[in-house]
Amino acid sequence: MSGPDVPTISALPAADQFSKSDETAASCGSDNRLGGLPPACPLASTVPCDIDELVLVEIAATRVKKYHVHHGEFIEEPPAPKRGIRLFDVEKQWPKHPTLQVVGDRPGASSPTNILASVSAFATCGPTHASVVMFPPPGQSEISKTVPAGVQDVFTFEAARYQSSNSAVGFFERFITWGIDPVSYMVSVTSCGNRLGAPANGGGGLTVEVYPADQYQLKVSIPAKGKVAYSRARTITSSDDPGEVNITDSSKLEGNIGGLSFERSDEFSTDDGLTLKDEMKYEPQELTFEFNHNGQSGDDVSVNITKLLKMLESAKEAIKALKDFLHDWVPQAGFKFEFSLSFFAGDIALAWGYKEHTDWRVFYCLSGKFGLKIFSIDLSLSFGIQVPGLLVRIEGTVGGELVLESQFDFNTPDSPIAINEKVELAIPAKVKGRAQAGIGWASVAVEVGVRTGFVTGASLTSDSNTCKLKAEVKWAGIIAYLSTYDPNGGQKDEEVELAKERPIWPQEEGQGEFKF
Amino acid sequence: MPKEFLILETTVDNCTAEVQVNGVPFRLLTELSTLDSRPIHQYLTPGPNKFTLVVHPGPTPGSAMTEQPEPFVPKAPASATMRLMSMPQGAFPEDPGVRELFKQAWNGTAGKPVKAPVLVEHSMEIPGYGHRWEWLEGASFDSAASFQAVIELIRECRDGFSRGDPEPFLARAEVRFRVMSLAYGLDVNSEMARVRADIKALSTEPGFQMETIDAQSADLRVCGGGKLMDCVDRSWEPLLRSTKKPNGLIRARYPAKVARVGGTLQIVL
Repeated sequence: MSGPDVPTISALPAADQFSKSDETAASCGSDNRLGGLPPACPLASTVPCDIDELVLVEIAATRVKKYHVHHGEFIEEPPAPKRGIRLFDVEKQWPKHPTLQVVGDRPGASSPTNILASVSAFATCGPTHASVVMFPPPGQSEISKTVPAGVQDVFTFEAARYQSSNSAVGFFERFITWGIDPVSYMVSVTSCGNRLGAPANGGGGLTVEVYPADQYQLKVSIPAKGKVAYSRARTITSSDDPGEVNITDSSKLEGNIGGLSFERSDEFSTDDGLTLKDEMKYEPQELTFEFNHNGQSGDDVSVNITKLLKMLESAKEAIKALKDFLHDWVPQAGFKFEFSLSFFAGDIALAWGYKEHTDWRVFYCLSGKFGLKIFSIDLSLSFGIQVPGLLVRIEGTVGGELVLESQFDFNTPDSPIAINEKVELAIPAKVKGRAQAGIGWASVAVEVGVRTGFVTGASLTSDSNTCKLKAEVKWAGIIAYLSTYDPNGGQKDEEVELAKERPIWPQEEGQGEFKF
Repeated sequence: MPKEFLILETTVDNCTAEVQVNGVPFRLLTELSTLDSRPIHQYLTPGPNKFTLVVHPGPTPGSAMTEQPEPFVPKAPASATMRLMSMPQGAFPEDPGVRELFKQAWNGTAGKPVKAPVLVEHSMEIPGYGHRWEWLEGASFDSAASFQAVIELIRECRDGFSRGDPEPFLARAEVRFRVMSLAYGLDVNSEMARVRADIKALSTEPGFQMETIDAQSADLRVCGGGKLMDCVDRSWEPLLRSTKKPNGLIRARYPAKVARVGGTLQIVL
């Protein structure tokens, strides 16, 4: 719906601007705000005093370009038609509605949102009655004035948006304006409501609600695969006594993960006195994070990049630490732990901000395009365990990926934001095992329904005032059936926990959820 | 004890396969258990030895080698391999001193049908290994009466296990102890003592019970050139085994292949 032009207003002389000095003129009935309470002045019923109309119109010419969003981008729109509301039944080209919602910038901005108020008094009962008052947000001075009878009086005021007190510190929340309270300006008219027998308007008011004009755009690209390799080689040489072996060990760790190349050095010792060396160093690469506020970059987004890097780091460290949870591995069988990981790899494009509809409404406009490999893992490991009479080498692989793809555009108040994308995936481990050569032998099986590998899930959802991107990754551990055999004694099976379960992401409550 | 072991390693990926040496089946690999690596001295004979992988066998042991009415269509790239290695005691395959004697592989293409089962075979002589086992001289199995006698033998062993009495089993498995002694240089008496103690210990474990022998679900099959009866059921499980524990685990299995030796039925492998 769009409002037509307002010839009755535009044809008038330049609007009278109210000033503080006008307040004294509105000494009667100035407490009558919205709702049209009877005027306070006890006036003789033979003196007419009545309001014909109150109209509030947004002066669109003072606003800068308008946009809609599409797949996370702002798209410029043609100039919007004029928008306004009316209080009574005279200026029927405007919708009769108590509230006009607009977007507004901060005070003093170059493109303020101005509201043209037009009030017409049928008659005034005296020099101080039939008045109009504009009540601004707290902290600003109200403006009031007596309305001359028989003419249409107009004035303008700036509907400004004051600094939000939003103190959220979440990943995107610093810039989030969804669900905040608008700033309100109220324009109230009062009269005695006396038209000498005809239906009369005692008074009433209209409200302007101002929402932030800020428009935000976010693009994040998180690079794909990284690899961590950790190995501890085993070499064995035959000797004359087949019961003796010579073992040498070496270890290495190298890789690149989530766009981070790394080197680090720390050492630890195993129970058998061998030292394993672990080297890592981190250096961000290829991660892009672009944040635009009203079309301009420049906001300090370093905090967000830092958080993102910490997130990648956290998941990678958690997976790397899985090797410490392998159950009682023995060095004589060698050790290998390698993984390639993508965590939140891919692209996010988001655009959001308040937008004026063609009628009196403002709505939260949100658009996004998500193409994320939430979790992709390719893990291979081998380690040894000792069972009575046998040294068994376990080999396992876990591979799979969880992808979240979604795009949405909410460009109208008639289709409220409703996002509900959920994906989940179990990535089971494949495990096998063999014993060292000898009379006995062993095998390892994973049975259906027994927990192994990774369990992952992700969701992109919305509620009444926020959207949430949530991910969860758990290492379910590895429980397997270990079978040992000897040629005379048959096969014995036992259930063994080869690796303990452990959370990968989130590791702390609330960590796995991003609100925007 | 030998210094070198002949280890047959078999693997599957996205398929099933049964492993046989000289017509004696001993392991079904599945997608949940994809690797088997074991010594095979007890199956070897002088002269050529035949190694077989039966890929995508029939649904039961008795139909394992039967041509299937429907082709096998791998859902993903599939493979089955077997390789024979000579390995020093204590070695793993990549260790020095390990010699690969042969390797055979089958590869299936995803979505491409193949006639099932697929037989992957290799024959070779292995000097220094193999015996003319005493069970090879016995009569072949050829009648339903033989099947019933084998069931009774297994039931006799099972009842003994249930009582914590290993003696019926030990008496019926004397030939196997001799076979293993020849194959691996084990002392028969000490092996019997070890197994006796082992069975007694198992029988005292909480909840330990032997599975009943159900002739209806049994799927006795003749193998080893007609000389052996493989005592398994239709789900490829040994008839002689403990019941499933609440977690699905079968604590103990006693695979048994029975032959006629000296006119009596004996567990020989």
